[in-house]
Parts: sequence; C-alpha cells; structure tokens
Amino acid sequence: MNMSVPGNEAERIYHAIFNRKIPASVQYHFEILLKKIESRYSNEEVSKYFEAINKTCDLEALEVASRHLKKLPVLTEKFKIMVYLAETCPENYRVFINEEQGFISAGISLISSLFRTGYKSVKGMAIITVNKI
Amino acid sequence: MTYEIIIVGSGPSGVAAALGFAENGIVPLMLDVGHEAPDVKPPDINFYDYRKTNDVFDVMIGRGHEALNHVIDKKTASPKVSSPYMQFVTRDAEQLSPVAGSSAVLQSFAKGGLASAWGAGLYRCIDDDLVNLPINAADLSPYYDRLTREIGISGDDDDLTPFFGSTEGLLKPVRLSRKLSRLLSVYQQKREELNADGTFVGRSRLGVLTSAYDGRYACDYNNFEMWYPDLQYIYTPAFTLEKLIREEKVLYHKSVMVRNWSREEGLIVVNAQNIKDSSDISFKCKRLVLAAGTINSTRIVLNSKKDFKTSLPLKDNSLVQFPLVFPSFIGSKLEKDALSLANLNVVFDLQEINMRLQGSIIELSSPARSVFFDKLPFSAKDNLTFIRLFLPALAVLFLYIPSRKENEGHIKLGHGNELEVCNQHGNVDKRILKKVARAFCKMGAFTHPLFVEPPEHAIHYGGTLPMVLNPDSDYHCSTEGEIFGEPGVHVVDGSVLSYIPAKNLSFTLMANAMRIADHISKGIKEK
Repeated sequence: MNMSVPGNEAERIYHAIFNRKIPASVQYHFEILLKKIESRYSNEEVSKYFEAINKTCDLEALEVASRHLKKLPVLTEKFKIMVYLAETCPENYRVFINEEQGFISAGISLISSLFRTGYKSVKGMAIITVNKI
Repeated sequence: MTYEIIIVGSGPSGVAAALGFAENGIVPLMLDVGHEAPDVKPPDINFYDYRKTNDVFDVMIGRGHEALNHVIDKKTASPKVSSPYMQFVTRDAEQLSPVAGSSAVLQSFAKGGLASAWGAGLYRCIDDDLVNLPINAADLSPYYDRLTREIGISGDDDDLTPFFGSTEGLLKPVRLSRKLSRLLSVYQQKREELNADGTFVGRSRLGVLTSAYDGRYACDYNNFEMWYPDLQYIYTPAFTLEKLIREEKVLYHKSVMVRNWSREEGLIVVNAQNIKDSSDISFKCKRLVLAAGTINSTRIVLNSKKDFKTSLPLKDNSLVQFPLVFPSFIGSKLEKDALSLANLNVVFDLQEINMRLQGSIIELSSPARSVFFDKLPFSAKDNLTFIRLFLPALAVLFLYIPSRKENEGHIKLGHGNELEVCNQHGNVDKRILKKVARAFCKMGAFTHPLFVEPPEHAIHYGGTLPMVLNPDSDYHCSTEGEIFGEPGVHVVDGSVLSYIPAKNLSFTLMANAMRIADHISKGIKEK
C-alpha cells in the first residue's frame, strides 16, 4: 500500500478531520507546534509515525485504530492539537456548535457515526496489520 | 520599621483577615507574590455569537500557545487555569513552591490566589461539617453574615438550607439552564421519595451577582467565565483587596515570596525573597498571620522550624466526576447563555455508610469543545459529530468525598526546600457510585459508574496544622490559630482544619480568618 500522498502533513491531518482545506492561520500555528509535539516522543516513535502516514491516504482510519490499539501516539496527539487550533476559526463554528434543534435527525446522525467509526476502525486495523505498523 | 501585623498571602483567607483587621482600625502589611491578571476585557456580546465571525485564537489558545502547552505536556489542570488569560493564576507556582512526589498540587501566587479562577461556590458550614474543631457554626455566623454583605452571594431558601445554613442576605439565585431547570422540576415532583432515600437538591450558593451590587454589574450570561479574568459579576478576593488598598486600610507589598520567620529582640522577622531580582528582604512585626494556602503555609512553618523530619498529615476532599446525560436534549441547540458554573447542588445523606456527600452540578457550555475530543472513542469526524449533537445533552456532577483516615496524605519538607507531598485517594465505595447513578436516573439524568473518572486531587487541602482546644504539639494551633510554642504566629488558612467535609470550604476559611483577625485585634486593643 506504499503510495504517494498529496499535501503536507498539516494539510493532510486537517483534511482527515474536517474534509476541507486548512486555513492559513491554523497551518502556521500547527507547524510551529509540530516540533514541540515530536520532542515529547522518542525518535523511534516519530519515525514510525512518518513511516505509517506515508503508507495510507486514510489518516482518520489509521488514527482511530491506533488510538484503540495504543499505537502511534504522535498521530493521536497531532490530531488532538489540530482540533484545538481549528476550533478557534469562525469557519469551523458549526462543526463544533449545534444551532439547529432536531432530536430525530441527531439520533440518526449519531447512530450512523457509530457505524462509520466501526468501519473506520476495521479499516485502520487492516492498514496497521498489512503494513506491520 | 516594625509592623503590628503582617499577613502572608492574598487569597480568600488573607483578604478576609485583612478585612477583619481593617474593621478594627488596624492596618496590616500584606506580603504577596501577587501576579496580576492581564488587562483584557471581553467583548460586549455572547461569546458564541462573537465566535461566529471572529477568530478567537488569542482567547482560547494564546499567542504563545499557552493553552496547548498544558495539553502537549499532559499536565492536569482545570480548563479554566489553562486558558491563556487565566494562566496568571498558576504562573511560576512550580518554581516558587516546588513540590516533589507523585501528587499534582495546584498552587497560586496570583493576587487573590486560586480564587481568581474559582467556581465561586460559597457555602456555610453547619456543626456536622466542623467535626473535631474547637469552634462551631455559631462562632462563625457573624463573620459569614458580614462576608455575605461584602461579597454579594446568590442562592435560595430550599431543601439544602439545612446543609448550607442561614439564607440571610442572599441575592436571588442565578438563572438555571434548561436542562438543570428540568432536573429541579423532576426532583420537586419526586421530592418525598428522593428525600426518604437521602437525596436533596437545591440551588447553588455562588459569589455571582444576579443584580448590580457594590459597583459591580450583574451576570450577563455571556459565557466568558472560562476565558476572562476579573469578570465583575464573579466575586474574587482581589476585589476586596483592591478596595482596602484604595482606602489605605491595608499596605500591600507585592513581588515578595516569604520563606520563613525568625525572632529578634522579641519581634518576628519575616524572611523573604524579592522575586524581581532574587534579593533577600526582611520585615519585622509583632504578629504574623499565615494565609498562603495550606501547602505554602506548611512550607513556611516547616522551614522556620528547620524541620526536615516531621511528616504532617495532609487532608483533602477528593473529587469524583460523573457525566450526566439528559437524553431529551440530544440534538438540541447548545444553550449559549447558560452559566457555566454550578447551577444546582445535591446532598446525599448516606446513612448506611454514615457519610454525607455534597456535589455541584455544572453546565458545560463554556469550555472549549476540543477538550472533549480525546475523551470520546469514535473516529475524528464522528467525535466531532458527537461533540456537536451530544454535548448539549451533557452536564457534569462534581461530587466531593470528605477526608477520611484511609485517604490521608502527608507532607514533608525536603532539604532542597522541595515539599514532598503524597496524596492518597483510593477507590470510591461502589455503594456511593450506585446510589448517585440511581438517584439521578430517578431525576431523568443518566450516568453510570463505568463512566466515572477515578477520584482526583481536589484543591481543598487542609489538616497540616490543626486547630485544637488544647494544643500540645509543635504543629497544633489554638482556637485563635496561634501555633503552639510560637507566640504571635497565627495560621488562618485551610491548614487549621482537621477534617475536610464534602463541601467547598472557601467561605468557611474566610469566616474563620476574619474571626481570628477580630480576636487578635481585640487583644491588641486591650493592651
């Protein structure tokens, strides 16, 4: 599954979470923080992370599986920091805050999210197993 | 120059003591590190409406990525003290008051102390709460009344009055959020059954103004509680301190870190460090009042006695967090104008284990939504869906467990001036978890022992220098907080409490500090 993946690290992580192009300000701050995040982990863990993200296009699947299997903590940490940065942008306001009333539609969305997470977790585990991550 | 009184620390106890002296016409000198809040003011609209069109990076993350440093370094801290404009509250604490050992200890060297970021819960103690103390609720009553007038406390006369004491002088309670209003209404319908089972619910008593008071404006429900300091509707001791300084009723010397005291020609010499240039500095006084918080006052006492051997008991009321889910609110709009502090309180009288627990039910409208991201088990996009649709249905119960012998920690001074602090919290009795879950289920809010986070350290420390009727050890205090064998040195903070009930103790510490200040003042006047 060794494939070439478009975009730099920040763009890819942001896209995996928000499905859109990263705002310049978020990219700027994320790139400043990258070194600090990596400095909290061993070189081996950081290399393993880079190796892993270059083996798949689906970072979201890789992240949820590695979170459950307690692998690739660098990836999990970078996702988390990206979410913190993204929340400050007005364009993401509606991603975080619900402004529409709807119990039934919310129920349907939440149930589909459970299935979606199940699918992503299985896919992520397959990526980890096949690529011996 | 010799001062009559020196107070160390500007937290709730220090400021209440200063107020007590001021009302007796005595002008104390207050020594304090005194980090000040940044000069920032919130916009004049609701935070969420503001966020729709404005980048809030400076407010939520900070130009130096302050909020994220806590996340990256995996430091446990409440979201409030992690937010950029609130970081002055815990600034330099690790350097100024180093602590070794496994326990995380929250300390503040801010003007106003940890109360600059508090939840403003202000509860009177009743006699049952003051176990093993040589004072009772009636001794504190006039000081509670005086402080109620000073602070402006909102609350109500309800089922919790027997546990929270007199309602005299209370402002009307804060507006309840929709969820918690529903919970209170279900409680009222099932009141008899719940009361018979030992469950009581009522309004919180908060230092939050519900009408303009003493030149401060009333709560605007704009949801900035988590992000901005010095919101005038939330009382902090710094307000009273500023007033006393302005009226020249207290002399305030900041940037001073007190290390210990010694004696010279019948006077007490307070030895300190000027934190601006690290130079030594000393002050002479006739009486010294320690109000630096339990951890730091204990350090000063041990350091003054050069005691590196004694291990003192450290007590606190550990905190257990229960998520509360209100199913009918799933998919509802986020209540943007709910007050993100305690809205309701609950008391569990557990006869079967002879324990009374008290908890605060908190709305979650103010914290960053990102805080919940890594607490959810779903994939990234699905976590965001849950944050958006599920969080409006969530509140949290902070349940305090009273101090017990089996969870007593200890504190000891190391040779490098580091305090060795060890806290033990153990596990929470499963009967408590089940009882709480059952009671809330009856009130239409769901929780389960599986989702309860293990007990964490609370911030209500005490017990190191207990106040006893007949002191007979170097680390006992008299009813007036005077340390045994150390004439003129008084302790007025949490250190003197030999038992920490399941309650926020700030108000009681303030009342006790004021009581002691009153007693000392009368002694001085008689002389």
